[in-house]
Amino acid sequence: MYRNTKQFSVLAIIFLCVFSLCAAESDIKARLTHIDALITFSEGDFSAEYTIVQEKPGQGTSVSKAAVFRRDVSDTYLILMLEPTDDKGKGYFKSGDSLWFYDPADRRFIFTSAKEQFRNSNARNSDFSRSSFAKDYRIISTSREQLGKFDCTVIDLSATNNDATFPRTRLWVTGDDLIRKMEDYSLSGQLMRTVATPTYQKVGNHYVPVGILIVDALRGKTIGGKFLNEKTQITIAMPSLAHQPDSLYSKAYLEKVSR
Amino acid sequence: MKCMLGLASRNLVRQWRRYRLLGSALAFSFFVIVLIASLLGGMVGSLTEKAKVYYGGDFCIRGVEAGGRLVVQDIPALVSALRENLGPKPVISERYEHRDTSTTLFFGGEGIRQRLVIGIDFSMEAELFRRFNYVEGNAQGIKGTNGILISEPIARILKARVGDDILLLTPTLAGQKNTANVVVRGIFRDSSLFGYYTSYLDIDFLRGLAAMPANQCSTLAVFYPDGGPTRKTLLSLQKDLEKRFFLYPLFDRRQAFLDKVATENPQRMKYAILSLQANLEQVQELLDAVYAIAIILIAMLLGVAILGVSGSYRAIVHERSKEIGTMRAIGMQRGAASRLIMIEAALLALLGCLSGTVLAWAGLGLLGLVNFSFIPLFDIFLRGGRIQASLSLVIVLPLAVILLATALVAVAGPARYAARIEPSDAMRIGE
Repeated sequence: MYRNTKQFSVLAIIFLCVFSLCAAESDIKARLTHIDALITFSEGDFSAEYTIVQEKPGQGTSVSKAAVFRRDVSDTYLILMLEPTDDKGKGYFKSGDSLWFYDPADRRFIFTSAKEQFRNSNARNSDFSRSSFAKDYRIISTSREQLGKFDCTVIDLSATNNDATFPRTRLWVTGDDLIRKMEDYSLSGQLMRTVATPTYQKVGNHYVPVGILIVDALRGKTIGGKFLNEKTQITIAMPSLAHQPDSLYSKAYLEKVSR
Repeated sequence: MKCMLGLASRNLVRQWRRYRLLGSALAFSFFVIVLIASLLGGMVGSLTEKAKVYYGGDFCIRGVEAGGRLVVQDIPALVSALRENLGPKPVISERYEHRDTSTTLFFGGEGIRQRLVIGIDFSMEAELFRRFNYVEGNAQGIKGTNGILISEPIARILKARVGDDILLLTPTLAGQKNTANVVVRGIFRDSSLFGYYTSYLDIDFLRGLAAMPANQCSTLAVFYPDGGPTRKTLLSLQKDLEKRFFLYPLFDRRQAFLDKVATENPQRMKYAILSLQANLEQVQELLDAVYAIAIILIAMLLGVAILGVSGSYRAIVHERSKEIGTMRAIGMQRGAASRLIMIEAALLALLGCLSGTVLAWAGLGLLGLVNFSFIPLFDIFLRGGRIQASLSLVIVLPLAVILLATALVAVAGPARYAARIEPSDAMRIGE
């Protein structure tokens, strides 16, 4: 009888551990869903003006401005380039898995990929669409880490499908479920880029970064004996939840506006 | 006839001052024609050699699985069938061509896109890669390692040397970004469209990087050590392979094969034999342009030769009217007078061909010493930076026949004029 009790106790402990792990994973999964929900506008439209400053060491800085319109419920966005003058009228239109780039000079739509770089910057086309960590990734591990003034949970994720732009990613998330830092890795574990979003602005029930700093881990230049990485700084201004006409989310709109 | 030959050659020798300008012109024309033809042969030969490495041999086997993905799966069975048909001499090698516009090489913060990374079985293709024009390093010992061969322009952009670790970023077959550290083992000189944006890696290493199964490849490349297969060989091979596998018909153009794959959507594994000529379709416009320029130049030279010979011989026949009239007076018939002029012209053309050939041989030798790599985009026609052209009877003989025929056509008019010279009219000249 004593042996049976011992066996039962061991089984109970194992069961409790497994249950705890599952519960913990379930908690993190739920947290990922909440993280996505905070920065995804599932009730309506979102629009803002994005200023993109691309810094290439040794080559100077380039500044461009774009109007971004998102309709996350249908996984659609439209980006219209406003500056510089050479790029004015160019744009991107995404609908589901299809993404096109429009050049008014050629009056042509070119099919592109969400994984491609945005306008030769360190941002990716997928950076402008809705967040889908819960759908596209599974949790590998979690830990705690102090990131400057932020007390963060570090979540290591691995892609569960081929749609994810990066096969592995690591998130630094504060208690309010906002991502403060993200590191994107290749399949073999090579750091590709670091994305910092220290501050957010509240828009309705959601949050939009005030600024995003993307540091490319692979591209840069050695100047004065020091390696300087390529960087892209994105500033998001004039966020709005105003409803946009359905006709805006179309290729025809890009053609019309560029005329 | 023997008498005519003797007479004609004696006339040429005794009156060589009269014929030296025309003879020189014919020699120079033939020199230029042979030079153009030999250079053309050398340039096309170099392009073909480069194309063999790029496209995968004298011919290759491509495959399409159900769903349209380009892949070769039944490798052992295909290799066995090829050996049965072709014998032991040709080299049969698996290749994996990884094409993706996002594939990039990084070194020191600099990134350069690679249009094509080819996985090679370096043990099978050792000889082929030994013949590369290496600026630094080579392909020895690369098999089974993470070594990479890159082109000189790419090495220059990256500022990479042999021994440097560079980062290769490329998506897997599923589209996931993957990276690997590779070591530069060789830098080859090729700034042509074949080599500029192409790198070479060990096939197993690349398969691992791209998550491609080890029992698959994208091409079975077949290389002949000397020459290449005839169309008859390919047709016979096609017929035999059709008994064992599902095969597309022989395509004359690579694009025709790709179009067929895109429109057909095969329901089962199918294969195609693509010859080097079919693959060369990509550069066919360039080849056509080169041939067209050569033909135009040769035609122009022949045109000039016709005019020159015709004009010169009119003057020569007029100057020799008294001589021809005298020969007519002592019994030479009209036909013989005409034939004499024609034979003289033929001998002169033959002498011109001989001299021109010697000059061309010397000219090709000198040109072979010059490094033409400085000419942008010309590298596609060079081997080791030089034009590898050589004289051959296959080129010289037909051209000699053409020049000879041209000279005879040109001299036909003056010869007819010579035949019409009356002895009495000739005697009156100079009175």
